[in-house]
Amino acid sequence: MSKEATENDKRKRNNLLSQYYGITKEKDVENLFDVDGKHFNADAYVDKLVQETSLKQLIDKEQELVREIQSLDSEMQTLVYENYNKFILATDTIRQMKSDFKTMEDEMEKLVQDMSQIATFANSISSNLQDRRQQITKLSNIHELLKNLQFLFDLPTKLKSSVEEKNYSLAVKYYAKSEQVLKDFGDHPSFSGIQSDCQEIVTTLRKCLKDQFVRAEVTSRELEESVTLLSKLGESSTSLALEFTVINKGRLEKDLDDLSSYTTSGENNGEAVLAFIEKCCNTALNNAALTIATFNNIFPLASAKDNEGLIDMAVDVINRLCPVVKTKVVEIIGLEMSEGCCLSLVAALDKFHRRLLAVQRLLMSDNQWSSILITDVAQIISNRAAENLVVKWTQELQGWRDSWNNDNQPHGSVKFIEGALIEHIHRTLVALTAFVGNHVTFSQDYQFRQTFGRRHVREGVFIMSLKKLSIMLSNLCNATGKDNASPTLILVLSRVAIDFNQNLAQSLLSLIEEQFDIPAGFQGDNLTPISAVTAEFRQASQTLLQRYVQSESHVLVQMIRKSMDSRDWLTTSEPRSVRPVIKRVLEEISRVDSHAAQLYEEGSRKDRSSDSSRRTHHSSSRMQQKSSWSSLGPSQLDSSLLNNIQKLFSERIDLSGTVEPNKGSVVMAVIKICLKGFLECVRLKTFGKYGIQQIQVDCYYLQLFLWRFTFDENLVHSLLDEILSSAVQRCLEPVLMEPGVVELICER
Amino acid sequence: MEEEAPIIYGLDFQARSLCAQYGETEMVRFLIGTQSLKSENSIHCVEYDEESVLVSKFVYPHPLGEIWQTNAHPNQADIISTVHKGQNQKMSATIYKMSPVPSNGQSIDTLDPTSHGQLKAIASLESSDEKEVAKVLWQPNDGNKVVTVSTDSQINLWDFSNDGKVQNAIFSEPLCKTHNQVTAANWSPHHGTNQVAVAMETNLQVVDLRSVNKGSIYNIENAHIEPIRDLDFNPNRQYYMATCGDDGCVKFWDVRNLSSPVLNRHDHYHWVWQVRYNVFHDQLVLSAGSDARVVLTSAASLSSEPFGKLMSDDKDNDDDEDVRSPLADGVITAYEEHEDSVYSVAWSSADSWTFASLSYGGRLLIHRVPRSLKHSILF
Repeated sequence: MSKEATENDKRKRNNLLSQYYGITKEKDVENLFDVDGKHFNADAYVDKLVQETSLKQLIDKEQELVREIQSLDSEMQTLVYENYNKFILATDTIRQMKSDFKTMEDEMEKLVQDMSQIATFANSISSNLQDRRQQITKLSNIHELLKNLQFLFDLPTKLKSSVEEKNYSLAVKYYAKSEQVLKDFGDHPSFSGIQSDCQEIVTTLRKCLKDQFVRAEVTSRELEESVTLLSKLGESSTSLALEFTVINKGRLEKDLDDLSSYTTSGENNGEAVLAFIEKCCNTALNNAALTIATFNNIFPLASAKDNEGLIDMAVDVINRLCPVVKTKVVEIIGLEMSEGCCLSLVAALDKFHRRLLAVQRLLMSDNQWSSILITDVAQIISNRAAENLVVKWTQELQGWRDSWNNDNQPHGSVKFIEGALIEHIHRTLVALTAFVGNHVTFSQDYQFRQTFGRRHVREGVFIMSLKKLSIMLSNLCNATGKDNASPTLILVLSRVAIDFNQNLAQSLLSLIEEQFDIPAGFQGDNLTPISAVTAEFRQASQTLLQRYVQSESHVLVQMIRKSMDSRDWLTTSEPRSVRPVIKRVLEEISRVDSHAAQLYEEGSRKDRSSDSSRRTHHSSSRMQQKSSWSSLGPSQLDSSLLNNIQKLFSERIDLSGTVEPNKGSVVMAVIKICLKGFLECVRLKTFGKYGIQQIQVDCYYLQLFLWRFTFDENLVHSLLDEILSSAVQRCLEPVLMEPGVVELICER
Repeated sequence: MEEEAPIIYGLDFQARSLCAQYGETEMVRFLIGTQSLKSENSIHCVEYDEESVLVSKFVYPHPLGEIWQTNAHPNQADIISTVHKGQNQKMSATIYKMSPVPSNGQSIDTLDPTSHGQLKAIASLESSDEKEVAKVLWQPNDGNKVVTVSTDSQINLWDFSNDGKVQNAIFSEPLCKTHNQVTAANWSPHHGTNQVAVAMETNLQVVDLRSVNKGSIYNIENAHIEPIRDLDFNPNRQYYMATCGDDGCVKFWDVRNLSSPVLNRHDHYHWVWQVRYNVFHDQLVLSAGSDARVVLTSAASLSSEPFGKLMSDDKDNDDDEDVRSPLADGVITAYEEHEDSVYSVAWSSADSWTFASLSYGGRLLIHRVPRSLKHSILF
């Protein structure tokens, strides 16, 4: 039992140890036979060895085991020895440490004693020094005060010197430092002296600053400095702002005056305008901008009211500047405006416009200065352009009138005159296009383009000048005396007027619409319709044509009348030929015909027989009739009754001045008036036998040749008949010639 | 509108001369001188009765040949003058006493229709040499004197003031040495009736009868570009006159400024043969031309009547579109009823709104000015 118990204890201890050292139990069967294993069972081993091995092996085994046991013994002995030695050494060390600690304790005690002694000494020293330190602080305070006083006493001198050196900012700094002190101790007699001195100097200083403030050529930096300093000296910012405003106003007004009395130095107009605008921008506008900028700089906290004062002032200046610029620009550019001039003018205006806009932004004003100014100038310029154009045209027309050569061919002259007229208006328009150039800032404004294009160019220049032109053309008709225009010129001009009526005016308008951004054919906005202009040209051409007819027929009628007056129709001799004047009249009519044919269409003829032989026959038969009734003699038949009956069958001759713009109508009108004049002359005369025969010959001759010029030969016939029948009535002895003889005479 | 349809009276003869019978102040009566080479000429006295719209006539045979001009005495109804051309083919002038003539205010119908009218020559205005007479002019207003103008512009003044007997007072030298013939002449009613205007072709000269040989008082060179056919003085404004001529123009002149006419109307298409102011309303001017038209023109801006009268009334113009506003200068109406040249036109002396015009064929038209125009002038 005890053995088992010991065995259990042992196992228990082993377990605990193996647990501690982390060794796990190997319960393998072989281990029972491993000599070095933990579970070695000596008995089992021996049994096993005896059973399994031979004797020799046993003996060997026994010897081996003995050797092993002996080596193990010796090893154990060595280990024990070594451990013993180490123990001995530890014991010695502990003994030594015991004695060392004893000494250290003693030293520590001694140190505590020393420290307490030092503390006692230090306390005594500090208590001794306390009084001294207070005294030193007092002394240093007094020193500081004395230094300040020294500064105060020196202040007037310093101020004076710095003022003299114009180092105003230093002076102000000094003064600002001492101002409060002086104010506080001003009652004290010794200080009051200083104060009054200072006051005096500061007054000077202030004056100097104000002078600087007012001085004309002061830069804005200096100005800013003086204002800052003055405000430090206690000037109220309101009054300073006011003063600033007033001063700058004066300065700007001087600029304005300079500008209004600006005179050019006789340069090219365009350059002069540029120079003027340059000056405007650099003086008035620039200064205005600068003033505002400076103001904002130096019075950043200015009240709204002060600000308003300044802005009002600036607005006022610009308000006055604009008219000055307008007047001057218009004055400088002068009446003669070339294209280059206009370009320069526009460039100048544009520059001004941009500068003004910049200033306007500064002012935060929404005034329409520049656009009003530019619109005004544009209007004046376009008016002037229109006037110039009209003047040019007038000169052209006068030139043609005075230098007209009757050999001029009408057709070429029309082209030439139209070319010259168009050339002038083109030039004017080209000059005006400068205002709507792409690079021009102000013309980007839709409102401006619209007003300029529609009101000024289309209405003011185009419509107005064309109306004037049509009036000029018409007026040319009314001139008499030396201003009288040649009839051929009048005919030419009537064609010019018609061309304007038919296409020139319209094509010019299209050009304008294209160049000035007017919708093609645009009619709204109270624009004058083109038809109003073309109608005037039609009217003018009508007037001119009528005038042409009048002048030509005037000459012819005069020839006829003179020839009638110069002959005694009662006693004239028997006709042998057609009177030269009649031939001359026919020549003139054929000239009129050829001129008119160059310019006008033929016109519609009433059906005219082209068979001239039949016509001749026809006319001779008429002649036959006539001689037959005249042979009845006046006694047999009441001539006036006959006259009236004849009237019933003839058309009433329409002499009304309406002349169609075609060749036939023009020539016909001339012929009608001539023949009617002939008729009137005949009625004033009394004829003898040969007298009436001469008229008969003349009428027949006219009849032979006039038909080719007219599309209404019946009218010519009825007029010629009337002439002859009037002559018959005015004849004392109405015996007409034999038609054959008449024909013979005429064909000779 | 029916009042504006003209009364037409046809003579059987051609005629150039027409004038109102100035001595008759109540009846609308005109005198026409016929112009016929071959038949007996006569003076037709034509009376128009406004109420019955009837025309009556009385004929006075004129034995001395065709009549180129007929002028009535300014206030004696029975005295007339004519310029005529007889067998000798010479233009002469004679003053006649017509008989019988109804007394003032009596209708011509009161004359015995079976009796024959008679022209008794009082005076033959023959100058000593063989000059042809172009125009005879009665002294305006009192008719005590007569001026004859010969074709070469000699002016003769005949005085009747002494008991109706003719005294030859003055013979002038010809005004003009050129060959230009006298085409028109008239006697100014102003300036003490001392001024006579004579037109020689395109030039116009005005002479003072008291110093007739000292040249003209003033003249207008080339007043028209073609011969002047007639001229008339504004009866109420002394410095104004009207001329007309072959250029178809009627020109109004202020004689104080002769460089250009104050108004130039070109409303005829051919020669203008006569121009006549209305004596009572001198803004109304008639002109007659060989375009067979008679034109009633307004020269309101040159009238002696103030504008205010004309401006007052617009309502009549509204309902009569034919008539332009009489305010404006210009054509009021153009009468185109004639078929032939109209050589003469005359305002009635009895009714200031009635006038007659005569065309070559012998057609006499009696018109009245448009009622609306009359109203706008009167009210």
